[in-house]
Amino acid sequence: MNLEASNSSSGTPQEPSAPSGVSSEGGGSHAVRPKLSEAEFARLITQVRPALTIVASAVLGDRVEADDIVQEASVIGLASLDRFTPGTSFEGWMAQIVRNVARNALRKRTRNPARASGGDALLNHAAGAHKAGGSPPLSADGSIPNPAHFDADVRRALQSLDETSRVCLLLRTVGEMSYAQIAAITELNENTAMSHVFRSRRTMREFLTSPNGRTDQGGTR
Amino acid sequence: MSQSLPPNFDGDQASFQPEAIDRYLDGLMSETERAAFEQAIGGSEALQEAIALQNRLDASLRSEFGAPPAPAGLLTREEARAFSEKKQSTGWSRERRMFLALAALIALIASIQGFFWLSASSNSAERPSLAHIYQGLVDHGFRPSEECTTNEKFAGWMKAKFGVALALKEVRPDVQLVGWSSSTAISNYTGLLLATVDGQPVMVAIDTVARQNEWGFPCRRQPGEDAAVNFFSAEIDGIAVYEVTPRDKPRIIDNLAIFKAGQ
Repeated sequence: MNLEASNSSSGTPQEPSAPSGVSSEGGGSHAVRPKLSEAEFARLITQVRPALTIVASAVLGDRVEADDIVQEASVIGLASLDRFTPGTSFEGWMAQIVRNVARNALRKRTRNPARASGGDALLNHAAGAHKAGGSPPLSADGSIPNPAHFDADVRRALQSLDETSRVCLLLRTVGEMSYAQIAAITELNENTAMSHVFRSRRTMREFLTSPNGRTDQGGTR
Repeated sequence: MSQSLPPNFDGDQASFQPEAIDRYLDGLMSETERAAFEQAIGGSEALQEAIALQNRLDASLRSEFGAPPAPAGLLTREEARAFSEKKQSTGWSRERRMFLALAALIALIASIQGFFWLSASSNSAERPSLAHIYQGLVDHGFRPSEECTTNEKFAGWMKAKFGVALALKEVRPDVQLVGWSSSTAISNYTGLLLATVDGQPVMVAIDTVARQNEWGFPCRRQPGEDAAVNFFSAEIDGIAVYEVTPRDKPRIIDNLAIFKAGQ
């Protein structure tokens, strides 16, 4: 079977920008720059994959496509090995590629709502169940969020955060990473990463205890 | 206010810095601070609720976003090698010269069209052929990223990766599942099922029909490739499957159907 190749570029992520401090092509005074070998790349990507998956999840707002995003980013990283400077943060470099790929995927979702993730469907389902007279709030005074809607409300609260805050929060909470590790991945300093996490938690707690922020309190979003 | 209490505490929850709960939960407080804060927790329902809420919130996030990694690996070493082979500059065989000539032609077309090299790299024109991937796997022992010898596990992988739990609908004694890998053959998300038929290695490339149509059919031979293997294709419930086999008939893709328990 000999068939012609398609020239479609749809779905192709844009070229990731080189992280700060990483030059693109070999100019300047660096006559020879040792490159990362494919074997080293394979070893490193295996090590940082869980963190990259969390980064992708944070950008997307759900876990559905995160593995695919990381795989696509890995392909780009592999093809761009000569753009990585050994000695700089590999996870930071790959995380930037992951974020770019995930943003493109997010834009595609926005352009094509029919491809909304299963996560969105779950949220809609939860909201629909409430409108249809779903489970009542757990506590009489309404101070404790309804467990039937809690996960959906948490996701809404997460979506109310900016992307960097989501990344920092999930790396800390889900990845159980130190602030130093989070700083290496996000290319922030430790204190800034910590501030993002603390502020995010506080914002989410406020969101979840606010009548306007909870599905079981008739919050509108 | 007790002398032993930290400066950000005066016995009232409202007097704590807003991040005190986070510093407490992160274990960042000194012993003195921690003791004072725990004392405050004991006397404050609001603090207890806030901490309970944060713990519950964390558990929800872990549950929602902490799913185990996908069963398939990123790329096998063979796939990575195949993918990047065009970048190597040694080994000037006839096949390589032809391949490089083709690559140069593609690059020329791409430059005329104003594409950057990297964006062009994801086009199907530069995807490794199925025959190339198959040969690479065979040359390296036909080892999968993850072993899979049962129909149930295969169906689970299909469901997780493609949303459709395809599996073998009947047991064929000559067919033995080996495992799966990931590939960039059809799209960046292509899966490969590795199996043996009468002891001969057989590979099935799997992707969604939508991605297949987006990228173009991948079942093409590149110049210089011999015809040592045959290609068979099918579409089942939105899934495109390509069997690459040394045999003259398909033995796997003609036996795929939605998995049912007990199958």
